[in-house]
Amino acid sequence: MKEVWTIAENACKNILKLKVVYFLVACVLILVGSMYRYNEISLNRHRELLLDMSLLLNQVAAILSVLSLTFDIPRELREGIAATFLTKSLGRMKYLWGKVLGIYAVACVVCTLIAIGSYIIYASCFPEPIFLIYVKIQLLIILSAIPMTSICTFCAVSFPEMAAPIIALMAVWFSSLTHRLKIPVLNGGILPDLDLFNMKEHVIYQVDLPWSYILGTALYGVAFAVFVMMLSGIIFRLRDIK
Amino acid sequence: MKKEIIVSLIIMIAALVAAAALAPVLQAKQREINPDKDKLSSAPVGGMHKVVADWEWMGFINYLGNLQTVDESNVKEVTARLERLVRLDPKFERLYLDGLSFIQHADPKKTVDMLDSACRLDYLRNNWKIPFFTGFIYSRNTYDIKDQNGPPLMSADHAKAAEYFRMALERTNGSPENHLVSSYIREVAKAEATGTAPDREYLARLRFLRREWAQSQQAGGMEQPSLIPDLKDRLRTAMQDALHPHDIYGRDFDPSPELRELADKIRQEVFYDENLCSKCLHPAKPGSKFCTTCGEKLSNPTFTCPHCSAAVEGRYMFCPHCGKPFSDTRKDDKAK
Repeated sequence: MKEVWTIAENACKNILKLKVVYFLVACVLILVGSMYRYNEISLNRHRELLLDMSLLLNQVAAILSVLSLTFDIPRELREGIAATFLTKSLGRMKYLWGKVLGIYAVACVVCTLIAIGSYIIYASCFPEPIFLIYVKIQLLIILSAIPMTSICTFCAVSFPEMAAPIIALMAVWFSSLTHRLKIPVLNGGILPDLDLFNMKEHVIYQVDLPWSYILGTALYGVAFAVFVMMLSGIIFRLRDIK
Repeated sequence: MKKEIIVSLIIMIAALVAAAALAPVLQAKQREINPDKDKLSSAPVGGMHKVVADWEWMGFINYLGNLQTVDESNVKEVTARLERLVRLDPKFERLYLDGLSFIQHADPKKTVDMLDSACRLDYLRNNWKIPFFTGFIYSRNTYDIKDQNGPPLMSADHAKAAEYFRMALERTNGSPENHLVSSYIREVAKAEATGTAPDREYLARLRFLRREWAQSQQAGGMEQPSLIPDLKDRLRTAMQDALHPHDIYGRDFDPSPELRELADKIRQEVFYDENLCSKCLHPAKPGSKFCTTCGEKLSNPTFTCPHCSAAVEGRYMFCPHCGKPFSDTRKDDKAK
């Protein structure tokens, strides 16, 4: 377990110490804040625009954070950094779990920073209180990173370094559309249903979201992530790594 | 190695079963929380419908800014943009109230179709402005902007208009705006008016309000809440209008005997305990000798109890002198 935490800590620190991360967060917040000036061009729909943009950019930030796995794992394998963990078959699974936890922590930190910043901007511009529902929806975005991280891990260990990020991105995009398939087991089981985490319009229309639903999606995210992680672990174990 | 893979496989299958079992439950819960989600566009925007709708809205405004007017040359494009917006964000109230107002003259049928869909949305179930707007379009003939003298693009349908105004009234939680109530009464009267007599709408209005009054009464004379607030005052105003009618050009004409008879009946049924001026029907204060509104001499300065002939001031269900109910008198009058 200690090894997993060490890998997670390293993965997390490696990304969070990059100044560019905070620069991008600042850019996101400037972009969100600039939506306030869109009152005329949107015929006074700037409140909705500001909130929609903050949620969209936070979702994008979550995707980009977890997508870094598809760069990180192949790079470490190529450069031999992870060689010590990979000498034993037991170490491979720990390595993957450590990476997943570390990158998920990065996604949590980045999304939380954007969420707090966006809320401060919103609260200073508009009087309508939205705190609780805003927190719930941002929580759903952070929770959506759980299955996305596992998808990225699967792509990182299953596909070549060049193709993995593109395939992972397409898989995440496709996962938001699978609810339209309406096929039991396949939809939401083998194929993830990221639409379950998408309740963004509730912030605009101030429709409450029960905590039980959020808890349910968290459980679903964890269950799906465990499924994909085990599959990735098996593939990773069978892979010939030098 | 093999054992670890088998353990991994077992965990993997268990997790898959758990995820596959949880997903339909959450999907059902999601539909319960947000019943309008199925109405969203199937465009592959990755769940970003709202923000795409915002961008589309700004594009729509920009597009409209370049148009002189919306007519048959561009109405299809404007409608297509609006339909796209509706599919991206069906709950967007201003899209229906502001956006559709641009095409209501060029394509009224499409406008009312889209408004009708909006009226049935779960999220907008308490919105009265959308059914009011729908009723407003149905309430009059819509002509082509370029050919005002030609045949209407859509003829008025007063029954439909009344139906939507009623829907709007039902959504106001008992505090509707005056213009909504007036529109509803007017459209019901127009829909129910029969024949060619010039006072047919006055007659239909009185009949409708009398019916509403009757329905709002329970045994014992208890007043029930009606969709139409201040029903008694509206009934009195309708009687005042009916006794001094005028045609669509504003010219006065004499009310028909049928109209006078109905007004008298209503006066006996509804205003039996009030001292109304015989000329303007304004309620006189007890003890007044002349009407404070038109100056007419009042024939009956105070209300007289039909049982004990005592002068009664104010509105009562029972005579303060003999204790007999006034409602009995009303029933007796009806029987006569």
